[in-house]
Amino acid sequence: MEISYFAIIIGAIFVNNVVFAQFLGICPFLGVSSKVDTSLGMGAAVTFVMGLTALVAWPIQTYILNPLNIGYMQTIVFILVIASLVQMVEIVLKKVSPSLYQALGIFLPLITTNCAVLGVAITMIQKEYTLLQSFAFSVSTALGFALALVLFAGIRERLELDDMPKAFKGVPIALVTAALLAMAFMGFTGLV
Amino acid sequence: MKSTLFNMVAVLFTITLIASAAVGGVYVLTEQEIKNQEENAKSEALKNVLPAFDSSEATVVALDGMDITVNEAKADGKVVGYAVESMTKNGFAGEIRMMVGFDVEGNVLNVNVLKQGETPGLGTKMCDEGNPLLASALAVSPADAAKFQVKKDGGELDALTAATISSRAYYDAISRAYRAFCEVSGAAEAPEVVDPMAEAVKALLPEAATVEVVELMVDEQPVKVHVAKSDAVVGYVVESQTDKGYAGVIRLAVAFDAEANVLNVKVAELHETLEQAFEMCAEENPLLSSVKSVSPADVEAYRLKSEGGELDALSGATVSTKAYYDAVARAYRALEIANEGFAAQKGGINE
Amino acid sequence: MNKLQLIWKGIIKENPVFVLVLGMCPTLGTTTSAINALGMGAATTAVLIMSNLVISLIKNFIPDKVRIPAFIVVIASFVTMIQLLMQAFMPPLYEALGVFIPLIVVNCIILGRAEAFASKNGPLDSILDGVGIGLGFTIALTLIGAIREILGSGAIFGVNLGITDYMPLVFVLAPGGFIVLGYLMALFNKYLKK
Repeated sequence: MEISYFAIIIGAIFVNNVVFAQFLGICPFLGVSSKVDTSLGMGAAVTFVMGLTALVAWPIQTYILNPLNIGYMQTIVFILVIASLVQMVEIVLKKVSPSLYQALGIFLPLITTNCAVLGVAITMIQKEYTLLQSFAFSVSTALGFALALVLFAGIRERLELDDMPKAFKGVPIALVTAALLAMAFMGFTGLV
Repeated sequence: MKSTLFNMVAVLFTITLIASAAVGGVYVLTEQEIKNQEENAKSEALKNVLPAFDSSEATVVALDGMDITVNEAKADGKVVGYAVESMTKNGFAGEIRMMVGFDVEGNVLNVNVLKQGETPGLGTKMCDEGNPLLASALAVSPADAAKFQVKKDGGELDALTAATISSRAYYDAISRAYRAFCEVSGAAEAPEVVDPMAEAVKALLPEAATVEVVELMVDEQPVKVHVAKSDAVVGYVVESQTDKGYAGVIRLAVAFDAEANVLNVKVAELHETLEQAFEMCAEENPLLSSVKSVSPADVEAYRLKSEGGELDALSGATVSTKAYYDAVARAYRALEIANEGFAAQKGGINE
Repeated sequence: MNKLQLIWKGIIKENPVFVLVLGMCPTLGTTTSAINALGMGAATTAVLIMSNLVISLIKNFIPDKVRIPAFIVVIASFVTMIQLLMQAFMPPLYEALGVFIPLIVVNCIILGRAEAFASKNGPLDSILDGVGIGLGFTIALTLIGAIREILGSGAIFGVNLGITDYMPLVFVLAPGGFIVLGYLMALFNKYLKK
């Protein structure tokens, strides 16, 4: 059975949303999502890096690790790939487009430890996607991440002003809110 | 330590080298064990689904583009059963793999799910002991393809609550296992894959002396008109389809009387993913009563109520609903076109 | 600092989950049952102790600028070893935890401890720090896992409590993870964090 791109994309953005259904990338999700602007910046940076990661990690797995029969080195190799990719993106952006660097730069170092990036790279290999499918999967997962971030930031900006028990202030109420959003996202179950 | 270029490269290189060597060492140590575990899991599954046996022989069969392994188990040189390592790609989270045990006559003995990624608490119940899916699979023979479907699709099998897709996939893998069993054992004829469209047309066609079939393309989609005649036309059944479904093509058989009024509709092929859409398969459903009362010829009325017409929709499945009406309308147009054709023919030959 | 205190602070005062809010992904993703949570906690603790030990031993040989990549290589190697060992000796747990095992690499707790503690302290203290933080993480995970399992599937460590009929399934699904963690964190804030 061919997996259609439509199914991959809708699945990755809504049905299996990386934050609400797969629990990946929660740290930046809780850390960066207090303002809509920064959420957009983070979302864009993650999309950029995830797309690149797919394009680099897939050939490495297919043409180097698999033929050499050292698939078990995947974790080590991928995390190094991501770390160096983030470094390179940072250097290139600084030189080529200072304005873009200003917008995305502060988020880049955070991405290395964003488990969504490594998680997506491992998942796309596991699902035996082709290079193009992997790319579509990575980018749409990142878009799902950005969507979650921006939606959540919109809510949190208002939460700041609300009255609530002191113990719930900050992360606890954010988690409970995320639970409600996760329930809403469960409504997409069965779409694809 | 000072960060000179030489330093940095040398240290990183050394660390990576040692680390890789260490990981490689662990890999070599665990490699055999991991293989053993996989073998064990398989042979455990074999033992689990088969009566006692002392030797087994594996044959690989390709079915629907999937490799299915059939293990023929023997005790004292006599075949005691077959364990089929089957799979499906229709699970809620993709692949499901399972070991299905058959006795020599092809009765299901037991099922052991090897790999699945279904929703915890819903679809994963298929792995539990004594779950309703297993009970159904033991009670209904997969040889009877019509009965070996979930109740919702007209069969006799139970489904897990809120996990119809997982349930369908589970039975799909068992049917495939049965077909592989038939191929290898030769004990039984593989059940013919029922063509639901042929069945639907057969059920809908009125009694008639002759049936003429006209094949047409309407809006670039193939449509088949069956004209039932005994002296005069007694009715039509049109095989229609639409590509506007939520998950691809929907195919319907639409029965018309001689005056081109819709009598009945049967859904022959449906891939919709939303539970709500499957209501259109029911004997009585709002879509069917709508098309019975509103003729597709009445363009004003043949629209959804939400769009100013008179047609009902399935709540939560508007896209599927529209696709259904689209297919019925196409059937009607095919009928018109076919009738013009007959009229022209008559004019040309008979008079 | 007293050696025992070193362990104790990781469990309460600097609890990685409830106080430092680190390692949220495995905290939510692997706590659908108590046993999975415990397994994840144990695997993470093992990696944490080993990487803390090795990093505190080699800290003096690592040039400052390549510190982080060097740490990552060390951590990733231990993660891969644990991954292979689990695959060989605990296949059911390995299957259940899935992608979250390789993701131990990017668990901020481990890199965080390497950077904040192991690269500044001796091997013994680093091990104790790893034990403390690891225990804190494991206890937090197991607690969440137990609560979700009891509420969602009416069982604890796989033992059926005989109340399975009316369990709100949502607790083993994604939203339940967020809710349980949110409420536990609020309770922690109210009664333990001073």
